[in-house]
Amino acid sequence: MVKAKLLKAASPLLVLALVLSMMAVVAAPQVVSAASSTGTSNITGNPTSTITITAPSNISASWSIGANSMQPTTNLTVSSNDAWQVSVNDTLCESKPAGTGGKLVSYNTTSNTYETSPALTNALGVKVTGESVVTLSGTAQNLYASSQSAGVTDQNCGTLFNQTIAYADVVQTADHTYRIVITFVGTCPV
Amino acid sequence: MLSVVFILMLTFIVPEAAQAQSIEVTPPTNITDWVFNPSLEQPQTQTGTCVINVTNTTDNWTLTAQDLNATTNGYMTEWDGSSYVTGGAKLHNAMNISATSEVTLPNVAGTNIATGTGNTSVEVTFKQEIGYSDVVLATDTYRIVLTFEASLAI
Repeated sequence: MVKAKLLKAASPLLVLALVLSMMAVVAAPQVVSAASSTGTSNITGNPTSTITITAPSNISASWSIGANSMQPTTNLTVSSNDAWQVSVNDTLCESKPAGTGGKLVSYNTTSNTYETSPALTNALGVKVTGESVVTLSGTAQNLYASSQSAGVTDQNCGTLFNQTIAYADVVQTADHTYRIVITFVGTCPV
Repeated sequence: MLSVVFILMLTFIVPEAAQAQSIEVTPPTNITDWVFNPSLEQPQTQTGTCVINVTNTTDNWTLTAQDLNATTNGYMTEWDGSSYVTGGAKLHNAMNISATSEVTLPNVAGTNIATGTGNTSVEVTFKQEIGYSDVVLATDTYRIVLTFEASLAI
């Protein structure tokens, strides 16, 4: 009799416990202690002063006695993120004869070599629109400068070459021409 | 009674699948004094590793990268060493962040740059387009702070 009473009293508890245990097995609730996590990365940097230039295109021309001006097909262009300048020079490259700095010299178009002479009487002049003419020599000279620090991209610098021809400048034969190679150098910052 | 106690004990044994889940992210190392050159191939890039650790090997996760600062708003901005300069210079292009997907900062929407399962090291690429119009700072530097967030995908 006592046993029966005990069983009767325990039945509701037993059912509850059974239900709870079933919920634990079936539901298997997921416990999340940290659903997300953050972290930071600091980045610092600075551009380096940079200049990129494109020299004017080559020129091939026939000249008359007196002053001659020639415009290249493409002008000097400059890109820079800082104050910059461009200089010009006749560096006597490709074995151009000494003492001929700034002057076109006779050039053999078959052997692709300079002759020792003759050189034109007058040196070649180079200028950028709005600036003074620079008469070329064997020394680098400032052609164009900008103090602008805001940066320029592909700035088109109108370019002009001036060549004065004298009566003393002999006409070249068919396999010869007068030639010079001009070196443009961009520098920044200045 | 003993049966009741036993069943009650079973109720509170937590199954293996219900162990507490958590996720932890270690962002890429800071990048200091990044030198930008507008004459080189663009965009300029740097890489870093974002490490994600989770409790279970089967835990799925997502990763985002954002610029949460209203002053920079996705653009590296002039920094004097202690604060952003009022009216200071900004790079002209926003930074891009790339992992398995690429986003353009600030990425307000929180678009994922990667998703995965389990512990993972994610390679992150920082991409910055630089032009000649991006001025050189004489004494200050450009700066941005990125926030990486890894979240459990439940």
